[in-house]
Amino acid sequence: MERGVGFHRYRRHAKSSSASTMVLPNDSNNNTTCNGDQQAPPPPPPPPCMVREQDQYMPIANVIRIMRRILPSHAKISDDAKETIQECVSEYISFITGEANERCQREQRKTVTAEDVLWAMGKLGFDDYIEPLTVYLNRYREAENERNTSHGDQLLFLKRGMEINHHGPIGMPPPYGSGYPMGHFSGMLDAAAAMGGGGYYRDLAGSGASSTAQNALASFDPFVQFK
Amino acid sequence: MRQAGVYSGMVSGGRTGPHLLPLARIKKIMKKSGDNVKMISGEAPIVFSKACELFIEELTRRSWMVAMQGKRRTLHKDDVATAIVATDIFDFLVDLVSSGNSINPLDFSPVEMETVLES
Repeated sequence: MERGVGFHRYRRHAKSSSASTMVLPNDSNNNTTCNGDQQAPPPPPPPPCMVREQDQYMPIANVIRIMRRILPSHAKISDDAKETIQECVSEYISFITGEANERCQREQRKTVTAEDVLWAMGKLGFDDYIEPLTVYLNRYREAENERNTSHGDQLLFLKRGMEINHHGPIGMPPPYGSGYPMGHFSGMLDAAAAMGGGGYYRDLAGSGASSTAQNALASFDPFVQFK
Repeated sequence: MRQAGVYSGMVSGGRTGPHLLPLARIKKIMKKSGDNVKMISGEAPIVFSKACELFIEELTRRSWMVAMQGKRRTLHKDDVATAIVATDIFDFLVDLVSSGNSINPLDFSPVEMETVLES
């Protein structure tokens, strides 16, 4: 891991890996004096200033970015406010996870699930978060399903296209009646269009030779634009 | 062109987007929350990544209102502390901010506190 690299921490402590999690008290000025010592080899015995282990917090840049979405453009944020909110986030995660985990233990389950987390939030007063989080989770799940099943569906669609060709030009058979998830299908069409793949169907209709279609299938990669 | 993240581009408009907060870090913090946290589903950090956004937004909003009340343009730790003390669901954070220089909520009259935090 990045044990030897100190740039993501306020101060590198030679011995610490994940063991030391002492949190710097309010005085953030200590950080700068500690950094001054960085240059001197070999490292002296641990100085009185405390180690602020960054691995137990969200990256401060990300935290600030989210804060800036709320604050007016002229607002400034003091360093201690940034660090405080950074610490609060970690505390929040621990707090919710603790409650969720207790429920798992009571129900003799080993894995803390998304549902457990949502339940814990409701129990601890964060009701307002539950709905947006549920929407977010459902969207994530849909996206995962598309990713996982899209390849099989794509082959199936092209095969169908080939069958239909025997009776005439395809047009674009509307898939909605066939049970394909809408979001998935339009994604695939977009990919085909983006690649000038609309011509695929014309080729299939024109040639009628299955070998050509097979070759087309082999090189068809609707997700190349996502790579 | 920006490389599409794993989840963006898959959903129309990419609204789930790449996550703002690193999932591995979230998972690490979850594991540290207790000795007996054994296994964590893949989705749990995903939920937290969004929940933490909401949390940061709410805490920031409330803290900023305190700063505005004091006619200041810089958000200070004291503002965060005041917002925490005045918000019930943030009770679990009181110890985190109470070491030393937090504002005494009794310094604000109840009316002022209401005004600061109503929205």
